[in-house]
Amino acid sequence: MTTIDMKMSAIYQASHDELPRQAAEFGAYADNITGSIEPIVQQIVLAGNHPIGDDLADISVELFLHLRSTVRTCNDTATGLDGMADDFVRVDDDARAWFAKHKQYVGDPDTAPVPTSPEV
Amino acid sequence: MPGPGGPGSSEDTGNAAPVIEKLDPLFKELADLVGQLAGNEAAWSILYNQAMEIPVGDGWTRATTNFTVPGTYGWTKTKALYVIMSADNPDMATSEVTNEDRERIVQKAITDAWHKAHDSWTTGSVSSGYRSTSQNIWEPDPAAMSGPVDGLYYLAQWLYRQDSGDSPWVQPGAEGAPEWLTNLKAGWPNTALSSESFYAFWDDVDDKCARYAIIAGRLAKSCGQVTYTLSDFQTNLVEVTTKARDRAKEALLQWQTWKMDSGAWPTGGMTDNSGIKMILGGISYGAGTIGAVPSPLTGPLAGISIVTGGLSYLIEEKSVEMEATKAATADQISTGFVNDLTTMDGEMTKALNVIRTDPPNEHVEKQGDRDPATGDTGLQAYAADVVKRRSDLTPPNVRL
Repeated sequence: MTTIDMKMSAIYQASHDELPRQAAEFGAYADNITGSIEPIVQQIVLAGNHPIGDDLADISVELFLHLRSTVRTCNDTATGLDGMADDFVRVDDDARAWFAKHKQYVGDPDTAPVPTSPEV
Repeated sequence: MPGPGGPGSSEDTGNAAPVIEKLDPLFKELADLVGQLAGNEAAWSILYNQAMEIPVGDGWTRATTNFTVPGTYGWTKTKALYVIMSADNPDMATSEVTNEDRERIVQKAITDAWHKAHDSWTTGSVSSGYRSTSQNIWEPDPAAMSGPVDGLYYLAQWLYRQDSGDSPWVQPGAEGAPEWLTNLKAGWPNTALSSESFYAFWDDVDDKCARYAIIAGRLAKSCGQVTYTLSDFQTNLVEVTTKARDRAKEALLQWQTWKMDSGAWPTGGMTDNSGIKMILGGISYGAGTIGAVPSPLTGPLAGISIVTGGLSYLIEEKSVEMEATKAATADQISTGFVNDLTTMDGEMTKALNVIRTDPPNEHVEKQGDRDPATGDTGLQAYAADVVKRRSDLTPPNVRL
């Protein structure tokens, strides 16, 4: 593997493959929090609206916020690294030649959708 | 809601029929039986008057005949006394009302009084009153919570796995680091737009996930405890209602026994059922639940089944005696049952309070069931602490 191959593969793999994959997984689990806590709290409301529902909702919202932050960071980093690589392709002949052979990295990386926050 | 990548569990949710579908027929049956008791009490009042209270002057006497009291548990052709004109009454020959008429009048009064009393229980709001008094217990659907609780279990376990030995969340070049990560650092060390922040973020993910796993574990377990509690109180509600129904049946059978066999009038002394106890919950109930639901970080990797096949009663010796099972008359049974429902509602709140306020470790007997990470803090305080630590728990920023 040449130096340019190693350099370009790493950044495009990070921005187009690894970070979007992690963002999607964290996003799915963040959505899972929303999909789990909402029906639980709904039923607790029916049980005399016991205040324990608020505690459970508070904890789940905090967890959600942290996972969403991870999703956003992965998305933003993927986009940022992709931009850095694209900039380098524009100014470096070897990078441009490498990029010409790796069409799968044309365009922006697929960022994960931002998960839906719990309505609790 | 299944966790992504985790075993699905949505098919476990919502399949059970709502508990109200079991309760509504029981409530209506209980109201009917209580109404029949009220009917018997009204009929008895008339018969008692005929036999004991109405003064019998000259020319009048008491005779025995067969009367019928309506109802599923009524009695037919039971011998009873009633007041008739005696043969030596001077008006006997001219009276427009015959003794046969008097028998029919008494029988009609019995039948009318029975139906009036019975219908006042069945056509009114009695069964809907039972429904509304117990609504906080029967209305939640624990089956709809079971799948979501499993989803939180999978979340906790997935977060926990991020901190496992082969996790990729390390510094470039470290043991276990993905090749692309090491190459990224090697190939882009001096880029003006980059910094160490991405690598610091990446390296921190497993540490953060380990902390999130503890939080998610407490969340999942607490949700499981709540689900378990609601499910068990619903089981108890059906049991308690069934017991009250059976008590009303038993009281009606006693009426039949009095009239069919001995012929003696009911004295009000009923069978002593004070030995019958039903569990209506109790403060230990919630504490028992705390130990019964495993933590996702120490329990089985699969989701837990907390609704189907759960323990019906957790702390049997902490039972509370049902009022309705001690009662004999219609009013006593119905009022006692409503009191039982109110007690159950209060006990369910107490059980949830225990989960909310008591440190779980105070209620687990086995050392292995203790939660070393969060078990010394009540849920309410723990939630406040998680909120307070938000900035500390937030992943570090990446500045590109």
